[in-house]
Amino acid sequence: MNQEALEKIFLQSFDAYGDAIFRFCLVKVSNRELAEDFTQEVFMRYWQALRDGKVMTNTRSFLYTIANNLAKDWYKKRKSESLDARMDGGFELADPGPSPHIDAEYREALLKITDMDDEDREILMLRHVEGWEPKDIAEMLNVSANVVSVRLNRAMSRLQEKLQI
Amino acid sequence: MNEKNTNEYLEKLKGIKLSDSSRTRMKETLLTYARFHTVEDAVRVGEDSRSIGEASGDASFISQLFTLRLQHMAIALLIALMIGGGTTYAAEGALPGDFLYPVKVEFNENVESAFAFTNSSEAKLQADLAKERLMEAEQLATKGELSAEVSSDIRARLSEHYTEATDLSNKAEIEGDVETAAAVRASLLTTLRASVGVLTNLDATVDGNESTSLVNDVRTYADATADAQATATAKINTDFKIKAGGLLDASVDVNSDGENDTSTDERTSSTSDTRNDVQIDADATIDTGVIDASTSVGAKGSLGL
Repeated sequence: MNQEALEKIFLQSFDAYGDAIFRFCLVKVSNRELAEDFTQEVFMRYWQALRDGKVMTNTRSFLYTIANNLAKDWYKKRKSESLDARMDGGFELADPGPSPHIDAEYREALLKITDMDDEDREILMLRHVEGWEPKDIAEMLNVSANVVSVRLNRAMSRLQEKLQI
Repeated sequence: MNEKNTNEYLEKLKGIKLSDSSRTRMKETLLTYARFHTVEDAVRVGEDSRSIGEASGDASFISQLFTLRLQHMAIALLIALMIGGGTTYAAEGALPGDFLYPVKVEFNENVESAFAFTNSSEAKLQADLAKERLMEAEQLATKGELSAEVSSDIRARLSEHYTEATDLSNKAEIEGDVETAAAVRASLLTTLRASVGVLTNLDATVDGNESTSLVNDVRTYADATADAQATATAKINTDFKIKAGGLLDASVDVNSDGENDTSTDERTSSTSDTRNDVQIDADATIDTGVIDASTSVGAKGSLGL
């Protein structure tokens, strides 16, 4: 495929999945700028794969896998740093919501979900925010669909507990 | 709270999106990236394939191209001269390791330098070029491609630009162009401080970067620039007081001035310690914008605000 055609696919993918990847990264790293940097990095690596002629059977899954790997590397590096810093830093939203009230709601929702462990929030995000089917989540996380369902139920009850506080 | 409410709660997260400005900026960056890493390049190079999520830093690949490019630099310059504007224009966005990078640094920038006739204009240009080198480093670092080799190349170039900018602004100052000297230092300080923050952050978050020495250099330059600026600002104030003869006593709150905030997280303790004793006593309203701005930057930078 030529440069022009690939660029078109590249930008279309960014339009289609840019926000979702950004949300995913934001929930993982709790920082707007870093989430933007990660999103950009995800798409740069996606471009590398496109130009290398990789056949994309599932672009969405491919992008999330890269984002997930980046976040994992980031966590590893962060382990030596204070874990509290992230929570203390609070949340920066990329874009203020339609009103201060809604903005505050996003903030609250984000804080609650980022307070959970990584596995819980990843699975809740994918299922309930991005609307993935359990089988797709299973494929990306490399586990069975049953495991996904069990984890989802547990994560959901933990979130419910949190929200009752 | 029941499951329905919890789901609604999660639904709220769907409203979080990239801001329009971020989306546009990212799209531009991505398209530029795609055009600098074209399909044709991939076919030509052949082996630049990576698995998903693998770190993109590939020192041997870059170093090979670097060697190749240094050998062909003369040819690149010749081509640039023959083809003219298009190539040199295209070279403007090149990064270390790109084919057109030698054209950018060895040709375009030397042409610019040839047209900078005074110490002041050359000092400004050198400060801009220092900024350009750091932006190149940052762009490479976002991709994890700031290898030791590229880092060292950028360090050497940055050192030249920094030394030139400092020497020439000192000369300009001696010649009486205090405003330009202060503006050049203010610009350098802002760039250097911001870069320490960005590079440190990228070094920690993106695999494949080896920028510690570069960051140390930048930090040293930033501290030295802050010192020079504080000394110059103090001198300006002293001179001004002598000239004003105590007639003016309107006070200026330099700290409330929001201009030129370096907005960098990087505040080394040594920087704030050593600067706390610098009293920026701007007890006169200075009308010249540059002096005012330099006072503000000097105070902010030096006090670590």
